[in-house]
Amino acid sequence: MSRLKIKRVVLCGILMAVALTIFVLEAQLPPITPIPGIKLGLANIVTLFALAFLSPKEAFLILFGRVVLGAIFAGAPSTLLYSLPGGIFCLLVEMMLIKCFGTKFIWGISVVGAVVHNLTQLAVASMVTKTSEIFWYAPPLLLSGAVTGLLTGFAVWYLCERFGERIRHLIK
Amino acid sequence: MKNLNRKIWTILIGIILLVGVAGTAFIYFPKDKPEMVEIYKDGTLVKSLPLDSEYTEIPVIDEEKENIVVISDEKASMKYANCPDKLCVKQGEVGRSNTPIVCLPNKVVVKLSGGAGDVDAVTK
Repeated sequence: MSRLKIKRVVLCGILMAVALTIFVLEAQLPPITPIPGIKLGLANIVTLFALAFLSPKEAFLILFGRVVLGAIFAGAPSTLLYSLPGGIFCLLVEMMLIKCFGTKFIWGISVVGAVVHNLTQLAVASMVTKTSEIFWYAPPLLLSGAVTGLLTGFAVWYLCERFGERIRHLIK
Repeated sequence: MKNLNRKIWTILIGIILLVGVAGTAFIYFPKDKPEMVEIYKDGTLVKSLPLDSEYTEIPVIDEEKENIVVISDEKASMKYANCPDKLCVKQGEVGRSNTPIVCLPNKVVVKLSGGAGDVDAVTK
């Protein structure tokens, strides 16, 4: 394996570990509200970072590893049913938006990603419970998605704007 | 071109925030007081009771999945559930809002509805 590839693989491994750690730690915090699905979602900082500085394939790998391992370590594996589709759609949408707008608006892209993620989880939940009542949760989730999306989005945005060049140089 | 993008994104996020706030306010402060409590298991209505009943405990048991719904003081709540996250129990009471109490792992949904005229048939 070439030196370049080894570097990338190691980097992906480290990022996956970072995302997993953030995820598990966050899961230990007491729930802010009883509404299912409202979290800080800080692990998405890593996902966005991967989309901004690495390839979509690597971002997907990191996400997949984090979600699967996270479900095993910190949550019931049943949460996978909701996190996986949510995470995948979120990643796809964010990937396309970054391709169109670049990283300058990653704070907004993060919000859209969070909203997509939450709505996907609601859709899965409504299929599981076979009711549509669950969509009453949509407005609070939209609000929390917007707020947490801005939080994580601005964190990555700051990285991109201030250290973008440095990071790209290091990763190369 | 750059300024246009900026405007697009600010407006988009603004709309999402607005819809979130407005929608949440609308949901938690509805105009009509709900009359009935409906309990669904796995998508099917299993019990329907008036919200102003005397203190009632309704167990919803199916093999290993246990939930106990309580109606008291014109409010419904999930008193007990044997699911791993117990988010449904922590949710507290619903008395005015349209949001249901949901136990996702056990597939139980407790919903308040407008009135007896809402449903055509009720299984008891």
